[in-house]
Amino acid sequence: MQDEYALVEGCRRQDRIVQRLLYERYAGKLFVVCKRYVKDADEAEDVLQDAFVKIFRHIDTFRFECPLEAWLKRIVINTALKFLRKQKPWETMSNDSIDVQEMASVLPQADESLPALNYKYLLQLVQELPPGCRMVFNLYAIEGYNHPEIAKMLDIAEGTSKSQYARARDLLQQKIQADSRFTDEHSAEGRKPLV
Amino acid sequence: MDELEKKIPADMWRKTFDEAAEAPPSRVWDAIERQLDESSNSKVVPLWGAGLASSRPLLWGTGLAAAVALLLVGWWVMPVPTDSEQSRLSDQRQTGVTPAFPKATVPENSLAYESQKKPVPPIEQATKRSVSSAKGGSKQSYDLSVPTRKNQPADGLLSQLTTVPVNKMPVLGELPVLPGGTEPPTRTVSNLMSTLGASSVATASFVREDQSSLSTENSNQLKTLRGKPIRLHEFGHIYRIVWFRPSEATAQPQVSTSKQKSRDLWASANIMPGAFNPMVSVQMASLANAGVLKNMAVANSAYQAQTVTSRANFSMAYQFTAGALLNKRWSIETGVGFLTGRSTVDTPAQLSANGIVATNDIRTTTGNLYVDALRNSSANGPKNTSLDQANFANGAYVQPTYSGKTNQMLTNDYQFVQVPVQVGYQLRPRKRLSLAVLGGFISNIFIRNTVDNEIIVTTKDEIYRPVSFAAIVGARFRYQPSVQWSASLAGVYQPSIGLVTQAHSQVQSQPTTAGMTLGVDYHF
Repeated sequence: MQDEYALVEGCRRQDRIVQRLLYERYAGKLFVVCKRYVKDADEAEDVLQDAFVKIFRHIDTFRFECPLEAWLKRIVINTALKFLRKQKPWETMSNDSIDVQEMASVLPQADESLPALNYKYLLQLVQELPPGCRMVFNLYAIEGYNHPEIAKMLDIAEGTSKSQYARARDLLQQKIQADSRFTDEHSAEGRKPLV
Repeated sequence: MDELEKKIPADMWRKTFDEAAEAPPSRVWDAIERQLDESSNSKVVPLWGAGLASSRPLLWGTGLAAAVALLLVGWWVMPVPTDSEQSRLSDQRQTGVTPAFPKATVPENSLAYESQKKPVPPIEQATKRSVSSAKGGSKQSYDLSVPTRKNQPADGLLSQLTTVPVNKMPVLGELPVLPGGTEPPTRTVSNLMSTLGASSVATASFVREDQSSLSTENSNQLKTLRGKPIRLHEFGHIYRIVWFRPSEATAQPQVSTSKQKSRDLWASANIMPGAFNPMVSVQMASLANAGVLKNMAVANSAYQAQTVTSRANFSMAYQFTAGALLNKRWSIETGVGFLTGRSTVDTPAQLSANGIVATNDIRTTTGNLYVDALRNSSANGPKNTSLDQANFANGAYVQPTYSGKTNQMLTNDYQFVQVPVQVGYQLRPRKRLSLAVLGGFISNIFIRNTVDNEIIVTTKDEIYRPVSFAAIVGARFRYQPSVQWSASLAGVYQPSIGLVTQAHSQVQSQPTTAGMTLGVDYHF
């Protein structure tokens, strides 16, 4: 906590060294957050750049009411949503954007156990979703927002949020069924359901 | 439970991504740093520049005045205790009375605080860096030790300031010795004293003891001559700064939308070479009413082919503008400019009554439709013009007629003062090479119209409106290699909104200007 105070105070003074320290500390995690929301690394870099510029310019508004990382993550998510909103994500609803066969190149080896799934595999699954489904799935399944909150954030109907989430689950299920590693012996009965 | 729930549990998504991290490329930080530099450096308004403001005497004078002002303010602000206050403080120290400052600011275990209650420890108990007087007499130890405890609060550090009598202080050697053998008021000095060597302190003490043998009279003289004593900060004048953060209800982090930081201001100097076409025409009905054409049949038959036309020539506009970026995309700009628009007017020449061309010199300004229309439209009237003299033959007025086949080419140069107001929409914002579309209007303040370098029409002639308006449409590239300077290239089209001539004027003009604007911009 003391470190966070020092970092925030340094950034408020626009101390470039402290700004770099804050960036070095959180950029890795936030870069993955960006990647979850956009389709490739180039877009993720753009979002991350915009988000950190916002962070440094508006660091005065952070009042230690929540963990610094949560605040930073929220800004990154908002920046990513704004970025995606320009792409009219609700108009691209086609199944054609999902190529299950392409997933084979990033799948873990067959002898890996399920818990050993690295985030890159899951990230690839999420990134292959259409933009609208991807946003709703990220917000609901990973960030933990509920559908009314998501509807408000994305300025869509609550029903749209639910349908997009259901569609995301269907698409993910198709991918998993195409993955030969997910056999019955690997699946863990009794685990908490996704939804 | 469907297939997805079986294969990937719900919490796996969250857990996996919570711990996931991947270092972004270094170019991301470079871009962030560049943007931060641009936003921080662009707000500096230079107060110095060319001319008188940059002259060396003025800079020196300003600096000197500032120094004097600082000294005066410092002298006035610094409270200096009077003699009675000093004696009261001395009494308090001798009697062990704690000065009136918050007790919490002085830790109980601080050395200075204890030194007020306990007698001075003997030399043997002093630390290695203790310094004693070189001679006998009143031996006193001066603890110049530096605190070694870590994380000691500031009050504790300040409380360990060494207590040194005035007459033993080499640094304050100019201070007088109080007569009568009374204990002089002690002063505190910081542990910077520890940087002095013991020998220098001892030597200074020796000199001081010599001075102590001065008579009381001399001491009084010194006392009357003494200036303001050096006053060092004491504990009572140290105030804690307490950072208090009240509890607030909202837990949602908010991103401020302050526009002050993102606003970019710039000033530009532009030149716009281009083409200016006044698009002149002559109202036939007005000519007829004015008596130039009394025979409307002639007007209908002959003048349909006798139209006045104009062609654009090279023109130049000079503009100084200032702009502000309202947000990421939108900007607003205004300024002042001067337009010299050159054009060529093709006008039918005047024929005499018997069909002979009135003049063989097609460059003359007399005897053509355009100039006649201008003169007839003038508020001063055509009475004194050469036109009337030319139309009188043998004392009788000859109605002028104009040839549709013989035309005169006249130069027709306009001058306007321009005040543009335009908005820009950035298509490539915050890029080194930015692109913006421009739109707005421009106020054209008419100055003069010179026809063939002979006839000058001004606003007094009431032919042209004093102020007319034109629209601005265009696109601009701006290349910004540095934070403060940029160059711009814009294509601009400025069609007039309505006529620039008066309604009663026989000459009508609705100019258009098209050109390329080249500019240099300075960003504040």
